[in-house]
Formats: sequence, structure tokens, C-alpha cells
Amino acid sequence: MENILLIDDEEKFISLYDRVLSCEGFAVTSTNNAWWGYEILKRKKFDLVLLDLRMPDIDGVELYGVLKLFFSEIRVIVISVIPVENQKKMIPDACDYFDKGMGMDVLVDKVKKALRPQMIARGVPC
Amino acid sequence: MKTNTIRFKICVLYVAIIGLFLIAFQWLLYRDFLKTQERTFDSRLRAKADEIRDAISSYVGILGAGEHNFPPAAQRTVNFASALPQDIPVPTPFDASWNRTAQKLGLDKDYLVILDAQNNVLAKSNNVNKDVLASLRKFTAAGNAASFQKLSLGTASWRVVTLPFNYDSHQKYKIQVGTSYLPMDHALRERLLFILFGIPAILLAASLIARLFIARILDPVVEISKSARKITQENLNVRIEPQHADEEIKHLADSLNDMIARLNDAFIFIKEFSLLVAHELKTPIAVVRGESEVTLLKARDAQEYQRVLGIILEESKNMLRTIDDLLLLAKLDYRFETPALERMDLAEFLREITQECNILGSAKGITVQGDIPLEPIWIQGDKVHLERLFFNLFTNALKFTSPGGRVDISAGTSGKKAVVSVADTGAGISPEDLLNIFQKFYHTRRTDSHAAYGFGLGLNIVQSIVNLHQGTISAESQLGKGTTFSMEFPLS
Repeated sequence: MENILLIDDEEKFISLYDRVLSCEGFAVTSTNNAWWGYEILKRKKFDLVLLDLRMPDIDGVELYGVLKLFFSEIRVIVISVIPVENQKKMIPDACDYFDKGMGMDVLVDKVKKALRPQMIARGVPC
Repeated sequence: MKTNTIRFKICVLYVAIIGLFLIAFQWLLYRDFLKTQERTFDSRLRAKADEIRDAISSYVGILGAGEHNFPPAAQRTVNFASALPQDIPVPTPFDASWNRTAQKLGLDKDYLVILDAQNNVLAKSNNVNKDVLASLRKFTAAGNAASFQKLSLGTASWRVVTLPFNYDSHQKYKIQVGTSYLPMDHALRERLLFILFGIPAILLAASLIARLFIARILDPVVEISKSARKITQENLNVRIEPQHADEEIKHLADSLNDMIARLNDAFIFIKEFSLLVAHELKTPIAVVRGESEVTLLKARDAQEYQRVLGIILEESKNMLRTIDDLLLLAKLDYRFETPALERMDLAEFLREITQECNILGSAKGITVQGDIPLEPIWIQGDKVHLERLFFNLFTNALKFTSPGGRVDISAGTSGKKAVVSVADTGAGISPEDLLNIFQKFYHTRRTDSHAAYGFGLGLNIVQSIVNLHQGTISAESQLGKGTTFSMEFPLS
């Protein structure tokens, strides 16, 4: 079972995504604080991080920089209400990008793609 | 040079004005010159007539007094260069002297006629033919004064003086001298040509100089246009700095720069605001979509449907509140002009607010009390905005205070400031949240029911209104005990 770390300051999204991804058979750990997310990552291995961009105190962009520094192999899908092209401008080299306005099926699809080894073997960036 | 440019118009105007003044001035000068020349010419002509008169008198004196000697004297005078007639005695020294004088005066080229009172010709110079004589005889002189007339003969013009000559107090004779007007014509023509060629030349030179000066004055305007063209929505940081500009152009550039700065602020605001709107409205919509999609994947029990419907209702209310707040924020933040501040009694105003809040609060079982002095507290305020400010503060207090709680509104003065506070006995705000509550859409991390709505825009709007009134606002709070918002406004 793949482990997913979900970092988002909105409880409503945590609750929703946690439920959806758990139903799909993923083990989801979630936190509403970027700093806690980093601390959790230090203690446990995760296959994928779903990272919200706009958070108070330390935002997603800053945390991403830290993650890439200390966990260079980590796969990150950026999630935000900001449109995808703007997300790409803020974090150009993430594994994938999810606009929260898109449907849950899209999120599940992206998560599955990110976690499938075949995709990795074919050289799809992640 | 294009004709619909300021350069062209100024140049034309400049040249036209100079031209007009030049022409007028030259016309006056020419007229004056003409008069002077005529006067000089006439006085010389008169002098000739006087010399002839004197010469006649002298000849009469030599020949002997008597009317019968007058005609020969006149003839001798007039025909000074000719051979002596038979009836004239041997030449006198006067003769030679008169000859010289006449030559010097140029009388050999002039028409000379002496007429008697009956207009009969007593003597005439050889160059006077029938036509000339006929014309000369028409000229008269009034009284004893010399009169001057112009005589046109074909293309030539002559100036004729008719000088009455009284001999012996009884006999009236007329001496007529006609001299060619050619020298005068020449002089006048020369002067006219000078003017006719001179004025255009001067105007041409003036227009060239004008173009140089206009270019110097208007070049900064061209610079300004070039700078202005560089300004785009993406590039509003360009500022216009024309080189060597005069005061008025500098003033124009400064005004344009101020305008660009205001536009820049407006564009930044619009951009940030649009992002804000998209973000803040998209969030609740994303939640509604997500929850609905997941719920519709399969049949759920009534409780689950109720939960989801509750979320949808909740988020709908959030969105409407956000839209209202955003519209007000747009109105407030976008107000680059000064608000409609007027002198008002804050104490009286707060008494009214307290009464209204009491009515609202009583519905939730919350008492509202006011501690407001009876003396007026004068400030410069916009009533509509102040109402919004206190409404927002009060609804905040209402949100976070349980039934049975209290909201106190107090006011006073401290030095040159009016001091107002709104204190509730509600849930309080954590120290870390306290730092951020005035930010737009700062959402508290509290998960209990009191914090269901978050802070949204309410307190940000409160701060905007306080700023509009040149005031300050701060908040103190203790979790579980309550929150106090304190404001200061300058007294009027």
C-alpha cells in the first residue's frame, strides 16, 4: 500500500482528499501545517506528497525547496486553486499539478500515475 | 513640415505676426520717407523757382527798371545757355554767374516757363513743347504761395512748381519750373524693392529661427511621447523624464508620472484582487464539487447526504459573504480620492450604534453596553463607513461570544485623540492568530464551531476604514476570556 502525505491548510480539503484516496486504497497521512509535514517526512517514508501552495507561515513553494534539498527523490504533486500554468511558474519541476477545481477523478488519476512504476520505467518525469 | 502640427501652427503664427508688424512698420516708414523725400524735392524745386525769380530781378536791374525790360530779363534767365538775342546788351558778369548757377541747379534739364497775369508766355525754355506748355498753363497758384503739381507726360512724370511773382507790386507773373520726377521715382522704387525683398527675407530668417526655438521647446514633448509609448500594462514602472524641459513641460511630465503611478497601483490592485476573487471563490466551489462528486459515486445513507448538503449550504453562504466583502473591499481600496469626511460627534454616533447592536445582540442573548461620555467627541468621519466598521466588529464579537455573554462599547479622549474600544467576552483569539487577523482571508486554525467561518474580509475592511480616517486599530485577546479591539482617531 502506497503512502501519501497530504499537506493542506484547509481542513475541508484534507477531509475530502483523505476520504477519496483512502477509498482508492492508499494510506493517507495528512497535516494542515507545512512545518509539521517536514517533520513527518523526516520520520517516515512516503511514496508521494500532495502539497498545497498557499499556506500561512511557510508556504508550499518554500517547503518544496526544502523537500527537494533533503529528499531529492521525493515525488510531489502540487495542489492549489491557482490555475495549473501559474502553479508551474511557481514550482517548475514538480511531478504533476492539480487544480482543486478539477474533479476528484482527475486527482485520483494523477495520484495513480505518479505512483505506477511502469510510468517511471518509461521515463515519464517523476 | 506637416501642416496639422503645433510646430507648423506656431511657426505660421509667429511669422504672420512678425510679418504683419513688419509690413505695418515698413508702411509707416515708407510713408514717412515718401513725405520727407517729397518735401525735400519740393523745397529744392522751390529753391530753383526762387533763384529764377532772383535772376530775373537781377537782369531787370541790369537792363534797367521798367516793365518793358521784364520779358527780355525773363527770356535771358530762362535761356541762360543760349546765344544772346539781338536786343540784349553785351554779356554781363552776372550772365556768366547765372549760367553757372543754372547749370549747377540742373535747370538745363527742367521745363522753365514764365507767364504773365493773362497766362501769356513771356519766356520758356527750349525743351518746352506745345503739349508741355498746354499742361503747364493749366496749373495755377492761389494767392502768393507757391503751388506744386504733378505732370504726367507719357511714361515720364514731372513735378512742377508755380511761383507767383509780383513785379513792381502791380504786375503778377508766374514762374513755373518743372523738374523730372525720375530721381524721386528711383529713390522710392529702390526703397520699395528693399521692402519687398527685405520683408520676405526677414520672415524666412525668422521662420528658420522660429523652427529652431520651437524644436527646442517641443522636443521634450516628443521625448514624453516616446516614453509614453513604452508604457504598457506590463511595464508601468517607466517614468517620463524629459531632458532640458521648460517649467510647463516638466509640470506635464510630473502630472503624467503621477497618473502612471496611480494607474500602476490600480492595475496591481485589479490583478491582486482578481487573483484574490478567483482563489477565495474557487476554494468553496472546489469543496462543493469534490464532496458532491464523491457522494454521487454510489448510494449513501440519509446521514451522509445530510452531511454533504450541509457542507454545500455552508460553502454557499461563505461564497455569498465573500462576494459581499470583496465588493466592499473593491469600493474601499479603490478609493484613491479622499472619502467624504465631515465633522461629526463620535459620542452621539456610538450611542446610536450601541442601541442598534443591543437589538441585534438580544436575539442571541448577548447584552451590549455603552460607556460613552455625554460631551461630544468631534472627529472627521464618514458615517456610512463608520457604521460598516462597527457592524463588522460587532458581528465578529457576536460570532465568537456565546449566549449570556457581553459586548462593551466604550469611548473617550486621550490628548488629541478619540479612543474607542469594542470588547467581547467571547472565545478569544490565539496569540499567533492575533498577528494576522487583519489580513485578507486569514483563516483561523480553530476547528471548534465558533471558528466555522474564519475571519474572511471583515477585519480587513475594518482596518481599511480605520486607515481612511487616519486612525489606528489594535487587538488584545485571551483565549477563553474575550477580545478587545481598540481604535484611535484624530480629534477634529
